[in-house]
Amino acid sequence: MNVLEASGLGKRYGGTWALRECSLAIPAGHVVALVGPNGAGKSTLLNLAVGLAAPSAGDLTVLGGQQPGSPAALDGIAFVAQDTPLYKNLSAADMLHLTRNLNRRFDQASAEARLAELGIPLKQMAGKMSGGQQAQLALTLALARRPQLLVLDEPMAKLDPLARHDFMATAMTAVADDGVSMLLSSHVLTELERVADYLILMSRGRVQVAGEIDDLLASHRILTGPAAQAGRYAHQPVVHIRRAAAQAHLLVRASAQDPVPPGWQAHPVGMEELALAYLREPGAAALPGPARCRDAEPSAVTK
Amino acid sequence: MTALRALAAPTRPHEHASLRPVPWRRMAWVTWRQQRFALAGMAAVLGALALCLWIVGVQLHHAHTAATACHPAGSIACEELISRFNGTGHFLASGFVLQAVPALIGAFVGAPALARELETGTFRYVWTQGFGPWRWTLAKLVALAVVVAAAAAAISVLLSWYYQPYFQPYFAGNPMSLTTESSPLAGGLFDLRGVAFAAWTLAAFAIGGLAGMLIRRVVPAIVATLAAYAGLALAAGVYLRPHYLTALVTSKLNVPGSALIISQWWTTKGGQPVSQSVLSQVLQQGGPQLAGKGGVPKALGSWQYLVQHGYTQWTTYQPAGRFWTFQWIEGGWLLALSTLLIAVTVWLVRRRSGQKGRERPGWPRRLPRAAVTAGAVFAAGLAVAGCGGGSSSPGVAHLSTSTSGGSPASGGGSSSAGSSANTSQKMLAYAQCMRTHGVPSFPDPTSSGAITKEAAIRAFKAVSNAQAFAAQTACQRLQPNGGQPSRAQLAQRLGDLLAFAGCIRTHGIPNFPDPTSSGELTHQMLASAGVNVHQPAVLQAADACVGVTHGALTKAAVARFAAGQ
Repeated sequence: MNVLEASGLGKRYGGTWALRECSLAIPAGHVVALVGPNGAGKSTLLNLAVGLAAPSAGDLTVLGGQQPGSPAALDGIAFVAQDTPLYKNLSAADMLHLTRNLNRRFDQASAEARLAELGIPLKQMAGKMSGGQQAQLALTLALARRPQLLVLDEPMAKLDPLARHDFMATAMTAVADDGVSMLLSSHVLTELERVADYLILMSRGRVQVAGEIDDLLASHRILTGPAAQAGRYAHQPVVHIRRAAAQAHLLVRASAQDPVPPGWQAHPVGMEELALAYLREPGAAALPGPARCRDAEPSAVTK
Repeated sequence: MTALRALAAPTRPHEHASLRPVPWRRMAWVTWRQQRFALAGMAAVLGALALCLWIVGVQLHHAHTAATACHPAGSIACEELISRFNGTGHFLASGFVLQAVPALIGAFVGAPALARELETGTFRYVWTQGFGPWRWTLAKLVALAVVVAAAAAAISVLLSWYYQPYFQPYFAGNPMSLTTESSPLAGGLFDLRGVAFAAWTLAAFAIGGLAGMLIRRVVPAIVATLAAYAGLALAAGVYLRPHYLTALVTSKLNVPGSALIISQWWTTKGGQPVSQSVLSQVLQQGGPQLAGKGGVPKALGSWQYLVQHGYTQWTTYQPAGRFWTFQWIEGGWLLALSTLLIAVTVWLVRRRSGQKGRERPGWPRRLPRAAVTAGAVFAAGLAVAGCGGGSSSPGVAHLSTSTSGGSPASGGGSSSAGSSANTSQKMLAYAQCMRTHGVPSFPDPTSSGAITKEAAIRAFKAVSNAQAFAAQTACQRLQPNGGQPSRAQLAQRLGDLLAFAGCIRTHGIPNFPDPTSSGELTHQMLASAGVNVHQPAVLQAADACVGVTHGALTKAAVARFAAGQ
């Protein structure tokens, strides 16, 4: 089952496309990091997935063929929006009660246990909680719905490092215990690097890279060699060239088995290095074969 | 990672696509929990209003009972009681203040219902729950609409009771009084009674809900709701209400004072409409016949002259008996409108639940709550002010000869009172009786046998309604003629009033209407004749003409009449 499947998906606000020509298939059972600079279209894609926006073009289905916003999709997807909006004048207990009333399933016992574990008193007003507590409460509410897919939009943007760690620990426990698929966005890759096993890289309203992180790392290498030859390198597709004095570092699409030309040295690539290289080359793309973003630019390199 | 992926196979059996939706009734708790402060605020304001209406209403009903039971009508005591009735709750008498209640409920309960969710971003929480966005919107709006309409219906029962006295003649026995009941169809009070009040409240709420969805911010949505509601209410009163049913047409002067006059015009014998300027010319040509001494028209005035010369005055009006028909028509279309507005709101949520509802940076989040508080305080203040200001000022809205100062008092017109020693003795006995029965400072008659009106009114003002009423009841038998005006006096007064109207027409207000055959002259009659009582020219003409009424009208009475809207 694909938790999310898009083909030719586009969303326009006024005259500008926040997302365009996007084709994507995310299999179930992954922790998916949706990464990209501000304004890349991450929130738009998430809003479309949870039914808060309707596509301007193309198709999108979730949870194996459900329409976003349909009863089945609403039932199976829990969403924690950016800045974790909660009713400020309701207590934690009221928020639990509210969420229980608005959903077919709600695990009250586990939600209360989790709040107790986190030290959030049930009587405390949501508006009087710290940012970390609010985020934890929102996440607790989402998880108590026992979703198939948990969608988190910039969940850690306003949290301090400790709160981030606690937040991700809660989320990952749910993934491990309940087999929840998770889709979380961030403009900072490093906060997701440790937890995600699937990467979607977006920039300027387009999906650039999509795939399992292990596969992506295995299919890319850094080659270091003379700067003079960098421009003529044609053994493997080059994603990005970084020049440093006499040497150049090339990110190429090549596996460890591929031969390395003489004069060049191959190194494995790190997650961050890979992402930065792609973000610097908006024309480049690394997408799984059948589902990809059609890109108008001819320089697109596909697997 | 591998371990995680192994765990990640879907653990739940694939659920059927057509899920049973979350039951509607669950939204009751949700709506109550979220809206309890708004609803409590509304309940507090309406409760204060109800208390105020009850307190003033009891006084008003007492004053009305005293005034209608008072006998003989036209005596100083009765006039004083009527003036007290007019003074009780005069702040609420026109109904203007209460017109704001539906608008405020709509603005402060309806507008934030969706706008607050959209403004604070909580819609992203609530619209992604299993209940679903459009079902949530429908459930919330319908639940609130029912509560709001029920509260308004309760208030309107109280309002119907409160305004009852205004729709009953003060004293049916006295055809000379210019003080008559109001038309139950006239704007101002029509939509405070019956089903219209609840319907208008519902419509205001529905307008607020839609405005909140469209504007997505609380304060602008409140402002828009108030503006839209005011426009709708005004348009309905001016353009729709007079035409719910085909108006009745008459060419006689027997239109009851309780009817809503829609229009008046003159025609020739052949049925051609005649303009006011032509009528003025006709009246001027008939000058020698028409005018008495010094250009003052003779009694019965120009209306009779024009009728005698083959012209006919037509009046279209809605009779008061259509009140409930009109109520149901108005309630019906407002209910339909509210349903439509709520349906459109739900449809908008369903269709474009979509667009990003990002908060605008710098928009003060606290403002909405502050505005709500300020609005509630303001409304409560209005209600209390309406209570407090109720009892002190003189009556409004009706020109009443009954309070005309300066003329000899107590049914003894100047023509008869001065001539008879018997009358003089009776008046003396009457004054003594009044003093011993609870009005201690009641004046003796002057040498001419009449009691000075101002002194009598001062005496009445010093005592309570009940005392004045008791004293008058005990002593009225002592008044000449039992306190009743004679037939001759009635005819004299009607003549005086017709002369007054004719005089005003010759003083540059050619449209000024004649009083009805029963001596009534109301604001409605003036308004439908196109005469604005606030115009300085009208007031000057009236001041210039009070002399022709032989004291039946005074400048003070005219000023009071003009002040009453």
